[in-house]
Amino acid sequence: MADSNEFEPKIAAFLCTWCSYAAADLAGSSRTQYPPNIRVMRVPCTGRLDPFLIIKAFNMGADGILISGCHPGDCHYLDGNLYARRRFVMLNELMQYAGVEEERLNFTWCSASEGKRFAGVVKKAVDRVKTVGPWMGFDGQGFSKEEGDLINEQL
Amino acid sequence: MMIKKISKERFKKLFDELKEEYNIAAPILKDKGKEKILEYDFINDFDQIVWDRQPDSSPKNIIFPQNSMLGNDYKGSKYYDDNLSTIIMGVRSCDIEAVKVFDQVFIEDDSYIDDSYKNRRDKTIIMGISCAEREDSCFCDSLGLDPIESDYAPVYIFKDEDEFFIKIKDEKYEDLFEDLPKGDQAQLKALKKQRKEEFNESSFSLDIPTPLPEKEMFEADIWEEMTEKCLGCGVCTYYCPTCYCFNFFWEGEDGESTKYKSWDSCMFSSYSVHASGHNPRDSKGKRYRNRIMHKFSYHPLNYEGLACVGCGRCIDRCPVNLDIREALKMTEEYLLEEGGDESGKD
Amino acid sequence: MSNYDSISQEISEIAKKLLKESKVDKVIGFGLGRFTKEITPIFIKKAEDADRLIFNKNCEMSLTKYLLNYKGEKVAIVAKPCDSRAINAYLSEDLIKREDLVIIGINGCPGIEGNTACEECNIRNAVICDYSVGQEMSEEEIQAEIEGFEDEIDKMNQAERLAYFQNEFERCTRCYACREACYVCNCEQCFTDSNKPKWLGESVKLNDNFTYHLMRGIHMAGRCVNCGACEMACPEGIDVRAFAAKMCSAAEEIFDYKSGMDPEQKTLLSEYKVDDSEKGFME
Repeated sequence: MADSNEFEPKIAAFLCTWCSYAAADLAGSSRTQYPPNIRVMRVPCTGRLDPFLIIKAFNMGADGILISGCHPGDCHYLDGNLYARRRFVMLNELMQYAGVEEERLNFTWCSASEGKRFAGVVKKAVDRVKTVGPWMGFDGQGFSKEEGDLINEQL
Repeated sequence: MMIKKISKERFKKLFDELKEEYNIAAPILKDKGKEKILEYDFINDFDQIVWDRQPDSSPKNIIFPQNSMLGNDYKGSKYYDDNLSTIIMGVRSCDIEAVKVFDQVFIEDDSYIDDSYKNRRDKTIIMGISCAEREDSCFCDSLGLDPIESDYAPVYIFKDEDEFFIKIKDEKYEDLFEDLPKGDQAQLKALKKQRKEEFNESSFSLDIPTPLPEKEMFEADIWEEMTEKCLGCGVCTYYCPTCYCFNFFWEGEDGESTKYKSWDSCMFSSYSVHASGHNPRDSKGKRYRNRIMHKFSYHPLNYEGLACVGCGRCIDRCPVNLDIREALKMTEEYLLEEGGDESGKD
Repeated sequence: MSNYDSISQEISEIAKKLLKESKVDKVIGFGLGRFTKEITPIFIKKAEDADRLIFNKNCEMSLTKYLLNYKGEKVAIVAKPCDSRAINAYLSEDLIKREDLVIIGINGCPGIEGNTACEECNIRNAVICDYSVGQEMSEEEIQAEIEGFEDEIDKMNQAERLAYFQNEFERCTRCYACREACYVCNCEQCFTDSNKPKWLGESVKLNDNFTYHLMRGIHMAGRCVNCGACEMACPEGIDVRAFAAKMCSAAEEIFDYKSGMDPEQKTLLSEYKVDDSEKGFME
């Protein structure tokens, strides 16, 4: 067991059900280890992801987010992820401008056959978030212990 | 009644004495990005106080905070101590009359006494200040108020250059000012007279019946035209010293929540939405009608005096410069016209 | 640089003609208040009142949003270049009909006093109009106007930016003047008024204020025309335009997209290209 004082980030992971969620499954069934810091939320398609949900995740105390969908061109709904891509680029610009570290925002693509890659992505995202430390909220006040428990439950 | 006259230095000393026993709020300049805004806040330093112009926002922030968690109202204010009473310094006539409106509604109305307001108000002493000149948008004298002195404040300050007359009207507070040098009543009287003469004539005169005829004005067809340019934001109500509408709501999840009380605004489209989705005030005109009628009809009907004090802040702050004086003038003209018609009918 | 008096006169004459010939029911423009002598939106219904219409450096409001109140009526509107872009956006979203609308566009807009958006504005001529007033500004003149503009916030580091916005939003009273003044904000129900899902709390706390502006910011992506009406409307002098302005510059930089340039144009986020940028994505 690593040093218990080491910061273990909570990462809200939004995974599209057709590719990345399946990739997470594959990683599991092929026994590929990845850090347990992500709280997975399955969405039908990354195109369904309202940027508000991502802002809300930060508001609920997530230290970072990971969004993964099908590779461009592979979307189950043909072009959902292509709409999503523009949205994320703009959201990323906005969040960074507002003073959120870029390391907290992780966007990527993972197909259903990329279990290994998915494990790598999670590891990388966790490492990235670890470098910037805990998220203190938009007001810089941090989150209380009770809030933290609540978030753990909900995420 | 007691009259005192003191120099600026002496007032400063008085301030330092008072701040040991009271929280003191007064208008101070606050840096707000592009501009500086004069606003009431708790302070520690006499020299910060700006006496010479009308503050940009009213002392409503102090006696009726925008957000209160009941008992934790001024969280984060450095110079506020919950155990002490509060003195609000430099409150102008208009804002004092506005406090009267609050008192009428929250304390004097026997049907319900608002405890949190009453507690706060019982621990508040208002030190008024006499106005020396008119701001562009002021029209309190057109509504029958006296900008030189309001009777509702127990202590009143008259600033004459670097000297201050302090008039203590309420015996309760005479102790606080006992040690100060005495002021000459005749001198103060002369100052007041001179002020009155200097106070330039308002360009705005108003001749409406108060209360406004409820039914007639409710059905009048002028409201939509009046508010054609209104955006429907809540600026006028948030900066209004007499707007007291509030809302309760709970924040928190999963069984744990905090009850908050915060300002509401009748100019928001969601203000009167029913649970069914029906909205009896579904247009800007109807909402503005409520605002004007509340101030000039419903309040005088239920209590005493108008619920508009003519401070002009809604005029200054409105993003589209919707002028309440124009609205009142339109009302006056409408009543003049309609009144003629009606007497013909009878 | 155009002359305000001559622009005002031109506007009045066009309005008078339109009203006299009953081509429109109403002309929306700028005029003076009855008591304050400050600029306020006015709605002219009779030809003889048309002389009240003026234009000067204090005409800070965006009039475009009023068009939504007069669906089905014939109206004329005085449009600054930024307003003309907003009108284009409304046309592209099918919110108003072109045939009901007469646009009196202002060319060579010299900018509005106190509006920081004008310092970076490079669209100084009306992009859509039926009548144009003022003198068209050439590309060189426009470049001269905006020369030396730099986004101060962009130069800050991450922590400074966060602190800057915290300091700004601290004093937000959530009166929603920015929302109501904005032409983009015409949703039937704003996310702030939504109970389910409840995106943000009703109390005026820094965290909720910040979230409100952030959410409003992302809604501005590809729609904001950077007119600065929000900033002019804010009674607390908060830099409410910053996020929207960033969305404008990012859209231009990354997707070469400028909103409201053409009535047929789709909004940024309602279309895509297969080879779109993946700026900011993980490897």
